[in-house]
Amino acid sequence: MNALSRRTFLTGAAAGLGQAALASLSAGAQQGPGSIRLPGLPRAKRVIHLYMAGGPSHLETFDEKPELAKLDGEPMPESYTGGQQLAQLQGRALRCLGPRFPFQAFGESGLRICEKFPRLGGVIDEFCILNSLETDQINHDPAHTLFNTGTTLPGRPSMGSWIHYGLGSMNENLPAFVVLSSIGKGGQSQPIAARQWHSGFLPSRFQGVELRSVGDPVLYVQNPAGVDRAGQGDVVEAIAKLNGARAARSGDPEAAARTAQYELAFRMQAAVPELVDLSGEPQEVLDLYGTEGRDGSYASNCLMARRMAERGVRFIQVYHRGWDHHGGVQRSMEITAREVDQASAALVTDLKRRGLLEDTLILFGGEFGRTPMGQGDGRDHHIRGFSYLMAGAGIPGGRRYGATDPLGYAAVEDVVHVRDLHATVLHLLGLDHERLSYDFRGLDLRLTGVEPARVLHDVIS
Amino acid sequence: MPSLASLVPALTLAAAPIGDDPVSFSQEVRPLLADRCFPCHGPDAATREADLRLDLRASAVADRDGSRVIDTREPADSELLIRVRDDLDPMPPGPDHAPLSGEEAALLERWISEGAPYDEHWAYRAPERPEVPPIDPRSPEAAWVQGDIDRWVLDGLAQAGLQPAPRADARSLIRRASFDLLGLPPTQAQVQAFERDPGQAAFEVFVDELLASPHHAERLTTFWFDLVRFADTTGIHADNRWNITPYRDWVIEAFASNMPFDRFTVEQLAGDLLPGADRSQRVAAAYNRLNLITREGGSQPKEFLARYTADRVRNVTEVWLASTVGCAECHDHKFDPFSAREFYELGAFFADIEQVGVYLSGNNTFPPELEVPSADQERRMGELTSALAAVEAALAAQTPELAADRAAFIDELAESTWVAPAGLEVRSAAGRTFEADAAGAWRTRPDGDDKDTFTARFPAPAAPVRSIRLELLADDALPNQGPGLASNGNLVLTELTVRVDGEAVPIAAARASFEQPGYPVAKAHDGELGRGGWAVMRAQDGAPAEAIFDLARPLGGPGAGAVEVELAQVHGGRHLLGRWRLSVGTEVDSPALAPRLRELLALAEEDRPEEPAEETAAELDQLHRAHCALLADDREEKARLEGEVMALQGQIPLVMETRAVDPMVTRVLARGDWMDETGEVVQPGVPAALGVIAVEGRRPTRLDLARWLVDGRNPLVARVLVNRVWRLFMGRGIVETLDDFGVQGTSPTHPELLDHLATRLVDSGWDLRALIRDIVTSSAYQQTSAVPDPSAVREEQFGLQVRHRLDAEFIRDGALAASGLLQREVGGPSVRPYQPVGYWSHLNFPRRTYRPSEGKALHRRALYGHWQRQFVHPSLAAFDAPSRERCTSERPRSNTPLAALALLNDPIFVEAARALAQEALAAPAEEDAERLTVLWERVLQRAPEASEREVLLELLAGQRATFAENPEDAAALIAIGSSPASTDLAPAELAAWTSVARVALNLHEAIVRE
Repeated sequence: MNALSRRTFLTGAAAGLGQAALASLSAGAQQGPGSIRLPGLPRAKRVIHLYMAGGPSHLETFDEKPELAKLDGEPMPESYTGGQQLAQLQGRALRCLGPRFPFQAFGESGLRICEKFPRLGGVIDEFCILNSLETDQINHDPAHTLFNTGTTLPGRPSMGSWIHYGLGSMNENLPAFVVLSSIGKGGQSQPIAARQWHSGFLPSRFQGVELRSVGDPVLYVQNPAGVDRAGQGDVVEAIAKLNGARAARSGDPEAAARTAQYELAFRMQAAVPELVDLSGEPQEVLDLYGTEGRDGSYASNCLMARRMAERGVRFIQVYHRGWDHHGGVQRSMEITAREVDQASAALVTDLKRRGLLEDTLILFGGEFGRTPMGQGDGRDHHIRGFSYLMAGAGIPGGRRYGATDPLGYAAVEDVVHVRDLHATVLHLLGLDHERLSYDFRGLDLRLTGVEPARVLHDVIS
Repeated sequence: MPSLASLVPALTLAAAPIGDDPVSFSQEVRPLLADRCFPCHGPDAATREADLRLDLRASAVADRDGSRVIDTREPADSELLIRVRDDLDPMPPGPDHAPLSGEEAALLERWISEGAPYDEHWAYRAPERPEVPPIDPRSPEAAWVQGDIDRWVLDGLAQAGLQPAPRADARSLIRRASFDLLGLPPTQAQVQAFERDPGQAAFEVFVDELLASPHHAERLTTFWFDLVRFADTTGIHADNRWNITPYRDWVIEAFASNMPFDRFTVEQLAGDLLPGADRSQRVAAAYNRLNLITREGGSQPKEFLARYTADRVRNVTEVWLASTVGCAECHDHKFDPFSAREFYELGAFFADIEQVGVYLSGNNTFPPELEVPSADQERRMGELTSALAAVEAALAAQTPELAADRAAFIDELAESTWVAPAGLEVRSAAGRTFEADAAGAWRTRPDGDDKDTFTARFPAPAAPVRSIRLELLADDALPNQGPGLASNGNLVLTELTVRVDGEAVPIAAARASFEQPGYPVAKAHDGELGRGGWAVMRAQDGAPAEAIFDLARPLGGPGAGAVEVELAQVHGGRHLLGRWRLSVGTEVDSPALAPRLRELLALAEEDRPEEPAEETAAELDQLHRAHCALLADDREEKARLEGEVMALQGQIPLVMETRAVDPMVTRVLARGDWMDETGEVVQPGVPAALGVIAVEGRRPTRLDLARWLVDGRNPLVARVLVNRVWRLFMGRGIVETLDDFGVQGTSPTHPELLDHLATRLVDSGWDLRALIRDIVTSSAYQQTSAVPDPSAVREEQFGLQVRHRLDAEFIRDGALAASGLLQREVGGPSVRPYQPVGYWSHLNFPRRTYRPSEGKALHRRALYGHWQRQFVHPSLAAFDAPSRERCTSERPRSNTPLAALALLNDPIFVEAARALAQEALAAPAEEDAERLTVLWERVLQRAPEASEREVLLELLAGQRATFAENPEDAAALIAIGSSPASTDLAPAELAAWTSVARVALNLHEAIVRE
């Protein structure tokens, strides 16, 4: 084996055996040619999931319910709630809580959304609003697990891992699946488990990698104190040379594969700081998003998402932990809406003007919605009907799909289960959700599971 | 002996089909039918089509209106063959199901023409001890054979046309055995000793030494804990820490003492149910508490109880039976003979475990819990308890002196006078108003903020005031009759402050007639607003009470100005005083009295009942004993002892306990739906395919289940265990799917060896260590793993050694051992290694700031590290340590850039490199080359080769130059870690060598077991 030269690391051009191993790293699923790929697609190369963790109220965001306003303070008709699952409202009197804010028409489409989201309103013509989602899980941890992995059993791969597995990576220096998160001030910031971006039974390299706003942006990406890039390069080069010599003697091909990962790690050590360095962003861009720099805010994470989209990151998940509005939904919503409205809209605008929106799928929504019944002056968790936004990837915008009943309780028209959303995301990426599977314990398991799941053709075309 | 060079051609021969043998139903036909047909024509009644079961011969060959699905007389007429070969409408139908290939259909035809014999799936037939393959003592292989295992391996290799590989070189072998058995590298001295005498006898002596080491037990825990999902946290939502570490110590001790595996099983599943269960057995039963649990508010207890049951069923069937019984939670198993009903029957065994669905107890308390004191702690607690009993007896004794003193005390009590201060005004920070009533008490008007601070002002009285009394009074207008405004009638006095002319007068002591547990009156004068206060909620009896605050100095008298008593009540939730009265006293140490006694004593002496009621008399007696000077020493002693008991209590480890209570009802849940209450109620039972638990006239218990697993007749348990152990030391299971012995799993490559080992294990009394010893001392184990082209032998590598990367824990342990930093003490509570700042920022309820341990605890073995299920330590996770949310039979062995970053940059590895550099520099050596040898030997147990030395010396020279130019960098690098850098060494020199040591620790060879 050729010993790798110092220049190899510093220029980032991989060579020799390392390159071969790298190629297999980015290859993804080893399926028969074309078997998991759909003809004529993909429409999207990457996904940005703006994940409103905690469960935003659909009634104060994207699902206007005048009938509910009329019943404000009245008992919730039992015809809606009889025999249904409740979270914290278990055993309490159920009263309607009218929407706290007026809705307003935006854009050429005139789609009506809550007035607290004026910037999203400004780009509403890019979005399809789905008003008819439902899920199976009424508590945060299981609901997130279902939303990310399609089931509540631990040990299953998350959507980002499946997509990385199915499509491989588009870059050589950054992870293909990156998770960011911010904490809001408007509600309880519910915990999030690393299970949510785990690769489950898929090989570990498909796992999501957290891009952090405190400490090292990627765990252990910084050199030890006192070691500069050249010094780290010397160490890595010596490791590579010695592994190479050892591989030649022992015939262990893994030694070469190890070296390749050290090369990649070393390149990541340069690429990650470059990624998170916002000093090259013009003031106009910072203003567009409403951020002053890398501060861990949702706005800064949205800007980071755009930079990752440009650099070939396949699946970007941006958590905002601030939507669990059990009490004071009015005050909380005002705060949380302000935290996400501008930057979410900015991301759409920015991607569009850079020509990236057409092959980027944007999802905006949480793990469930909130009850039309009040919990005091807040709302409890709700799984029977909630809303999601989709944009990009050629999805016709300025439209609405599905509906809940007049009180916003249950999805009644064109009901979209979480699985259907999964199937649709995979479809837009050119993956057949029924064929993207992995053999685990004798079963061919898939993101969409065994229940029927449908691609939302009416949404995407 | 022929080497592996001849291996590839032999493989080609082995792959040729052998046409004459009859088709094997279990090896060839059933897997095919299971994969393609059972989903619609198998065990699951819910999805069965055409009332056809291909898993049962009777159904398959039955006459169906003149045709048969399998027709053994006219094979070609078999509907099965016709349908799978139907080009237009082939079975299996639908786009998702792969049609059979021509060869597969031909295989079925051959099998049918041979009479379509069915036999039971191999794994559900009890193993029988097979004949050990004979060996000709004169053959060249005879010398190779150390024991029965080698005969099987030799036989297996021969059938594949292979020969064993040569023995590994001495250093590789010692290193392999050391990592395999201890999870730690050997010392150079051990390697050298073996190099001098590399015989089998010496190897066996070495192995026996390792097996006797406590570190061997530690090593085995990693294997066991992955299976039983041992971790320090709950796993769901807030992922709180729980009390579990005594269970870890129990497992270590069990492995260290080579506890027979049957006992090991029984004690974990049902130690609490053993007659006369001792503490150790009850600790073992904490196994049943390792399921994931939640504290998330709004969770449905019933839903989570169903989850806990399912979690336990999955775990016990995965660990002991390597079966996917978990699939039957929602439906009958599609491939294996497990019905949904049987899933819930297994669940019913665990229905007796005391638990709740949603734990709303404290953050880290998940009752019931068991105290597990050390011997020392137990002894000390015994001493304290008897001392306390003695002093309590003294305090309770009746003497004439006491009786006389009591009478005087009561008279004095009756005389003691509390007066309402003249000119009292009260106001509220939140703007509340107050209404004075006839009794001189204040009624607080309820409206306003949840939190408030009241201030009472009055001119200092002429007589000096030494104490302040606050009475909380009942009132029908208050919630729950008060005395507070909270919805349950409670209140919390967060802090009482007294000022004279604006200057605070400290409170010397306080006492209350009643204190709600956790809310003592002491918290109302601790100077802290945020740390609780005095509250008075109790189950019955309303809650009027009083508290008396003694002042550190008297106030009032001539010239004194205004007195202010500030009553802060910032608990929230309207925990505010509802009806209350303030008075002042001229003495200290006055007892606080329950209002009832106060009323009694307020009566004129002649109006008091002659003989007070028994209860009142007792109360007055207690009060007297609490205050009389005669008993002051005893009281002080009691308080001291109680303090010591409490302190000791806080140090005694707890473990979540498995305690049996009346079993809850277990129903079959249709499709796993916990809301469905229509399912049939089931009793505990085991899957019929695996046997039966025969108990008469009572409900079978966990103890019955445990004993059934290890009664020696269970077809799976011993096989599953030996297969796991085989893989631990040979790199690959005899059944490759460690976690699936069902029809969808792989068949054993060497079924007779598997059964040989399984039956021997049972016959040996489940002697796990003997099994390990047999494997590790075999010649098969000792073969070299240096295979010229490993990919070429993939399918036939059984019986050969396979090299693999070390498990995450042993990478860390190995680096610490090589550096000399490793702490080798065994057992104890979890420790916290260095962890990147903010890694836990996603956790909440409560938010957690990670604080690493201090000192030597940072250098303990990884198995003692705190295991946070949702956020496993990132260095361990990078090397595939599992979350332990579920049973893990086999960790992946990934190779990722994140792992490279961890090993390069995690401070623990940098610190280890620096300590290693110190060792090299401290060695009595003249030359850099000699020091390199020291360093290399500590990590790799060999000297560097000439070409390696060249690379390293070049690196060293460059690093020396860099660090000499940049002394602050050198200082920064060697300062990493909690262990101090040697001050005898020049920083630049130590830093340069640290770089060299980092290379060593990061080498592929360093983290691979060959």
